[in-house]
Amino acid sequence: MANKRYGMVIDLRKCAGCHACTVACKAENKVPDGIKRTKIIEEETGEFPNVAITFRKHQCMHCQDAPCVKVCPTKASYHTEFGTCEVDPKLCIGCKYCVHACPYRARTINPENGLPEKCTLCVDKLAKGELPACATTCIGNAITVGDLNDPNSEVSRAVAKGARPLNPEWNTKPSIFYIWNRR
Amino acid sequence: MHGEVLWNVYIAIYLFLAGISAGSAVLAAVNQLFGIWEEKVTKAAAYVAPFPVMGGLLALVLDLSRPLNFYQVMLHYNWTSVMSWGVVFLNLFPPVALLFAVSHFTGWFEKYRKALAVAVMALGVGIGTYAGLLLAAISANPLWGNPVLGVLFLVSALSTGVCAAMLVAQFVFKVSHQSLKGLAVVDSTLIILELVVIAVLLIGWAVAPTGGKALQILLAGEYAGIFLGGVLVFGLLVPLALNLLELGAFGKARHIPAVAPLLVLVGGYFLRHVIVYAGQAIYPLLLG
Amino acid sequence: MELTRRNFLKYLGIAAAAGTVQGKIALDLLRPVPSQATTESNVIYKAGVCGICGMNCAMKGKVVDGVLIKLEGNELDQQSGGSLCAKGNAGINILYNPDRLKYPMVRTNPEKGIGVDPKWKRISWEEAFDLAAQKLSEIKEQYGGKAIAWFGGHKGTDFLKAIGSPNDFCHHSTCDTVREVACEVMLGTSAYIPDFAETDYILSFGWDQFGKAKNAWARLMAKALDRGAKLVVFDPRLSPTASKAQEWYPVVPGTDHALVLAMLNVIISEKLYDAEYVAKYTTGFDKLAEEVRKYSPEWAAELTGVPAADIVRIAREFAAAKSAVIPCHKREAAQVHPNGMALVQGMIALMAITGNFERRGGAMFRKKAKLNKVSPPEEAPGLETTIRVDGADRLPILLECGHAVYQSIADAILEEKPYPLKAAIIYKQGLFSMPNPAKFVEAFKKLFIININIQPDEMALLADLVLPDVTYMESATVSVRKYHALYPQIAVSEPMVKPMYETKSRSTIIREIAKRMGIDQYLNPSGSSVRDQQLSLYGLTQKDVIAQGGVISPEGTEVKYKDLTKLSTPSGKIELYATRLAEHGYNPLPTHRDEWILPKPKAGEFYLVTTRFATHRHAQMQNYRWVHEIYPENYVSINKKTAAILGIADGEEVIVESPYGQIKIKAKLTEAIRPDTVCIPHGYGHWSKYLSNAYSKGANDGDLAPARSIEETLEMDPVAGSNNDCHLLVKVRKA
Repeated sequence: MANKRYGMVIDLRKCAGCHACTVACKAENKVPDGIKRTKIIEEETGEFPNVAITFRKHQCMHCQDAPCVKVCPTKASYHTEFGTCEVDPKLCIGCKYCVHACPYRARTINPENGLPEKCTLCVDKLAKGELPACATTCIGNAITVGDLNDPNSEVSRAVAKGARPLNPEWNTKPSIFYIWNRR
Repeated sequence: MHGEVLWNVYIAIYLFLAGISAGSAVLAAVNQLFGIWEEKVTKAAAYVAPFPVMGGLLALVLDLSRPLNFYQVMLHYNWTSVMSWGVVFLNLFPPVALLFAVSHFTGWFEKYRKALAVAVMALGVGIGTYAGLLLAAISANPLWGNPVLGVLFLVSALSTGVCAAMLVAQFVFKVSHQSLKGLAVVDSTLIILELVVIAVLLIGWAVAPTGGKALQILLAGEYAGIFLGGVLVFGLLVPLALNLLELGAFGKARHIPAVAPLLVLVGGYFLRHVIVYAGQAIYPLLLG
Repeated sequence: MELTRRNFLKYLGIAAAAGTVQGKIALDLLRPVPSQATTESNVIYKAGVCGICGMNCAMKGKVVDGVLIKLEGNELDQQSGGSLCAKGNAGINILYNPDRLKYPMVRTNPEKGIGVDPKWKRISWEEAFDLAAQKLSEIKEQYGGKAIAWFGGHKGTDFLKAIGSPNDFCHHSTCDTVREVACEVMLGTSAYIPDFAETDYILSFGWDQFGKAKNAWARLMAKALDRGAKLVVFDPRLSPTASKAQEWYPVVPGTDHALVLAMLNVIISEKLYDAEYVAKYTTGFDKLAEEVRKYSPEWAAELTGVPAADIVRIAREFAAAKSAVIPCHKREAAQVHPNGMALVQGMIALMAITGNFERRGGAMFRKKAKLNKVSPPEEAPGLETTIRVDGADRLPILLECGHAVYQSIADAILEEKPYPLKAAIIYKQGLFSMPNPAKFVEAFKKLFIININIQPDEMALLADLVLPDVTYMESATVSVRKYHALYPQIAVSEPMVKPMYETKSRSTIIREIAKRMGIDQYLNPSGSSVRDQQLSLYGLTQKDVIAQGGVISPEGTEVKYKDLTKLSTPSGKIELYATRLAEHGYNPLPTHRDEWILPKPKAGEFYLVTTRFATHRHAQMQNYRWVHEIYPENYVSINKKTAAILGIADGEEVIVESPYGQIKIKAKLTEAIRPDTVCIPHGYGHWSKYLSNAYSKGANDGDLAPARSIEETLEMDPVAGSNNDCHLLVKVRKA
């Protein structure tokens, strides 16, 4: 079996923080009210008039060395054949250890089914050869999805050109990379 | 949601009760093996040991958001998860501890008692360590992710376990004042050790880059009252003073029954409570 | 040894035990993708056209077992390009909103006012139609057809003609009439397309359609940035667009036009313009040159706070760029200040003299597809009068553009001048679309109001008869691509689901009322046969277009160019000196009017700018749950240092007060705004209890705006009739 590692490169220079991804994700994944699998974090730096604002799409980072997978007592949290982090509802007991272990704070508990709620990279769509809902709807075309283990993929080329994950020093090997805003 | 509490009192109760079992199991085993005090002490501790953790397990199941899947945790193990190790200890400890207690109650299989004591001690230490490491293994959490916290929980487990056994020894088995004094020495030692570990924790946070938030929330924030008053003063310093009074450190020894161990127990719960809640408050979810 | 947490845990064998290889995942943990929870056998995709904003993106609706579960952009559409904004994605919330108006209702409480419950009574459609027809007929009989007005979207023009009323109202004078009028008189069309996809240089004067996620423009702006185009933004606050710019100048609000005039001055005096292009495609260059001679960069620097050297440099860069564009849409710098007309005229002139019209990467004309015309079976008898309640007849160019003087309607109704208005049909216009709604509420107390609406908003609460409308997901349409039509293109939609509850379409409702008034023969025909007739120009039916993917491009998908000597202006060329303005006695050139510059704010006083969140359109999306939970309420942005002086903390409630009203709103402290300016996102402060999510969240910036009388409007903006909502100073204090 080919070892795939699907991930995203999010070009923050093209992200206006419009939340199209946030809402498309809610529709695609039937996410309950009050919970989001992806959201925009707005960060302001500097002092007037030398101010910068960065909009960053925040979500499950699909770490390859994933704390959530490590701490799951039943192996309900696992990596799919696409290399994405996933939760198996049959095995999950709802201990919430994964939610607490995620350093990116990208999980929460779905009150309707008790399962950890998080981005799946729309892996069911990936399996059908489609793109995740957020990438499809992104107005700025800021989201690129592909196999990071394929050196010729667009995502791998972007990573080679300097796209970086959030907090790489945590050594969780995230599969979500960012091209950071220039301002 | 900001500062959403996903682990609530059930987890605090569970950690607390597991600690009592661990501590009393260790006390029973030590006395069994080394005969420091009269046998009644072993009995008292051995009778205490199996039960709190069973209540703790109930609390744990009540906390699950998918309780009907509970059995999966017995069928599937993930050795990189502290929780899976905990499941092993929690599966083995109650029957072994129960056997040990039954042996003392009925007098059966007396010749295996030493072996049982060794097993009970090992599993007790396992549970105590596990209960501490459960939170400490979450390395990204500025409050929880601290190995010293694991040590603190272990020491506190021993302390609360000894105190629970002391109460039973005193009121059920009417052990001698001499034995009680001996236990008070052990208790005081553990309390002092706990204070030292807390000091190490606080100093560690003071010098660590992300420790400021932990210090802030425990010493000045929402949880400062319960930490300073409930844990430090009434859970540790006051019972320590009462113990010293009892041991005659302040002149004439005075016997004040039950108060010190009860305070230690209450303080032990507050410690778990404050750590469980404050850890979630300073480490908010970004999604949800 | 340094004992880090990780090391310690590794030492314990906890963290290290996961058998991971560099960049690879342990194979034993890999498992196949879970199968989809829902069986997807009953999935159908329906062709749609988004009805939330004027871009009308073509889209697809995923319908499973008769339930619409997801909307997606149609990639055939040059506007949506296969994507949808947050609002578009949240369209499903409009359809399935539990608060939705479900059946006709009549008010039983005679008292009307802010916060007053209408005490609705459910009635049948028959009763509703009868009541509407009877009331309107009575009023027509007694006061004439002119006593009946239509508010909203020019969708009742045929009905008004049928009853003889000239009072066709729309909101554009609080929005983009300045841009429309300036474009009409100089270019012979109402708007131009910023061709971001190919541009090298973008100047923005408050333009923030990127931050507001106007689909095609946001998408192509991102593309321009990716291509390395230069973006310079003049905006009192660091808007999302400005946050992407290489250069941001926090210009003094209401002075942007001075920058444009000075740049014209630089380009003309330094002879940086495209002389050949100017000679071939424009008229009036010499008069423009003469006018802008007085606008030096130093003069503009004084007024705007932008250094003269930067103005000169940017002007030179703009002229030297291979292609350059100044986007202009709605309610941005141009539309809310009295010198806005000069700003848009100047923007058009800047692009014209640098040869940027009908040049890729510059400003392109809209290439709208034609449709077969449909007209009523019988010609209507004609208007009773051309004198309008709003006074738009006194602004001939505005009227020719088809627009009203929205703000003056309230005073006109209250004073019954020039004649009394007695009834109104209000369609798709919320109360919060009106400046100073308190004044409008007073006015509406005097009218019999029929409200055709989707949600129980404030307008519904003020209505006498509420008629539930269908959404764009329950109806069909033929939609010509407009906002970003680089080549002619048509999108067609079909009902994705059956109309919910007892809702009916606007055209059905109006036809039924007209029938009962005996005037339905004057209405435009409607229904699927009309759509087929419109499309028959191309030998196609609605079904055919849907079979082709919902979108057709009759002339192919190559960008089309317009002959710049055959424009709809009197000269056929770009008129730098607008002869149509001269004909009507207006100033034909972009001219600075010093008397309309706001005084410098004193301590505690601020310029006001407004914006809106990318997730909301106007005041109409706040109640929809997916976007509501992103921005549940609005706030007033205040510069941190200024707030510190006023003792205002982040998140604290403050009072914002203008000469026209005051609001209580939470403060948001930021460095991303001028210290003398505050900014409020629009659309909040809903007081209809029937909007369960939006009720009582945030405040309405419109409460601070004037609703200027026709006289005041004529004095301030005699050409485009703009309300100039932000031509005021506000005071901010702790609540």
